[in-house]
Amino acid sequence: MSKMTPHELMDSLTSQFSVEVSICEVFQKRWSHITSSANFVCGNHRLMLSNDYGIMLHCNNQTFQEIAAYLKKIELSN
Amino acid sequence: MQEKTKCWADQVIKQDEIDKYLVDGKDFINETEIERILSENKTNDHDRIHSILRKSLSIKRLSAEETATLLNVTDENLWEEMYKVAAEVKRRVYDNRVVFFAPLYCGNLCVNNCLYCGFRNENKDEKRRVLTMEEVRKEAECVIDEGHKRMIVVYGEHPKTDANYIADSIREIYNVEKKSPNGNVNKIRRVNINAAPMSIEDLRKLWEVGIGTYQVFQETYQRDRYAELHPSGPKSDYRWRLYALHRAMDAGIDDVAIGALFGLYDWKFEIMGLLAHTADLENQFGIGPHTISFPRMTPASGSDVSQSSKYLVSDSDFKKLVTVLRLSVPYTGLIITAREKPEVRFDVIQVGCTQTDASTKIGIGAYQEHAKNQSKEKQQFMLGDTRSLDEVVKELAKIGKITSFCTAGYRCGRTGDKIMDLLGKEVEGKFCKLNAVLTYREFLDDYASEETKKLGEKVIQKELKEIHEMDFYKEHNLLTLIDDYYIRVSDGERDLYV
Repeated sequence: MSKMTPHELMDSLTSQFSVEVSICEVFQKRWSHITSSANFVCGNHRLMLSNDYGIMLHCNNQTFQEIAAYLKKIELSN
Repeated sequence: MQEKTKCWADQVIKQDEIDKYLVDGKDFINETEIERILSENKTNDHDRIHSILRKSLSIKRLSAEETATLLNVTDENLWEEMYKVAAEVKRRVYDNRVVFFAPLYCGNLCVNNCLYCGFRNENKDEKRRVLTMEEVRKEAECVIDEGHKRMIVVYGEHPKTDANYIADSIREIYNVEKKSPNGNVNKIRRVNINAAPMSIEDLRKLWEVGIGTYQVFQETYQRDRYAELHPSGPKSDYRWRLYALHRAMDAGIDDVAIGALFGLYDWKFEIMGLLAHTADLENQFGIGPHTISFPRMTPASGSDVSQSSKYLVSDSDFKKLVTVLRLSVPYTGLIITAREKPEVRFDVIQVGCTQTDASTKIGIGAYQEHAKNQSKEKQQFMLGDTRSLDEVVKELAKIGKITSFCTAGYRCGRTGDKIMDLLGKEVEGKFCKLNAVLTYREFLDDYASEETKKLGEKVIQKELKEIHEMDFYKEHNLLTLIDDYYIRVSDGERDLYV
């Protein structure tokens, strides 16, 4: 597991997968914006990274599966 | 008041959580300056007014001087132009939709003594009650049965409805599920609250349970009038209330809502106060209010002020004040409530309101009791519009407006400075359009009468056609997504949003 901050994770995903990303802190239903890539408008996929963080991505299903596998190796830190 | 309750009230205010926001010991309401700006900016010069209107159309907040200039216009022809520009500003930022919510009053016990309010401590006519969690759940079920997805929950200031109670009630409401007559499962998706100012520590409790927007109205920004109307209780501290939303920001709640109760003091002064409040939140946190409310005083049980104030606002001035707010803070939501009569609501929705309520009941426990008549002894004030949600949706459909039950923004990271940025760039309205269509489809299928459904179909087809013709959705590859979501919602899947 490698540790990354939300900003580092966003940079890593945009450079490796060329996707638009938004990372949020999650409080129940509320997804509160932390950081997003420059052209992020909205996501068609969303995933919880932990109990506290979630990620939204705009990409096709295949890329999403690849990213989901990659995210399993990442631990988000503050 | 019982000694225990009095002790609780005495410990509410934390002076250091006021002082930290003051600049050189001063708060952001400079009354002398507001009066000066109002008296020095009086003109009907068309060029000057048109230049201000152009700034509004570019979705920029107006300065105090520009706002005062608009407030002081006396040429009715210019006002007609201002109404049209306000409507256009609203369309650019929020598109053609009106978002609906339902209020839920959880309790009318209160340690304060606001002279215009039916809940005030010394009003012996009021029948006092606080809902149990079981009752909160039942009230929420009734609200879902009407077709609502968004609530504003209201609490008096009292130890029995403190921050822990509020947090419990938010959790309770989010957990309620109710099937529509055709078997689709629906929930309340966003819980906003209107509650007394709190400490940062208490506000964090609300943040942790997923509060939507935290709403606190200053009532009046004029200090002497404020002191006169709020003689006792924590609410008598003007600055504790003035900085309630600053503390919310520090607690992490970045969706906050301001408001003033119109009829307590001069309406032009109050608009300037709301603008100063907006500016200070933006200056200190980079985030303005999510919405602004402008309730107009209506008769309340045991309150002479609510009927005899010399500052009561006429219908025509009310339309003007809403128009100036729309022009002055173009990117902020404006809420018109069922306090107003149907014809007034209809009129001001046209000049830029973005949210309203329907099927409204404000008595404690009134939804479960299926109360047909209003009860002055159980309500904070009297309503002007008691029509059902279906009736109001139908009325809006007749003029081509789409009703939205969208709660997507705060579940997609579009909060705080992010949403402010999107609103300013006229992008948020594009999401509003998509989510309006999806939630309108849900309402038409699950709760609408046949007549509303028939009218609504025309509205929804027009919206879908516009969506398919707009470049924005093509450029961002959103058409496939929206078409997929629309089909799935039409097939009975619920709560899809972008």
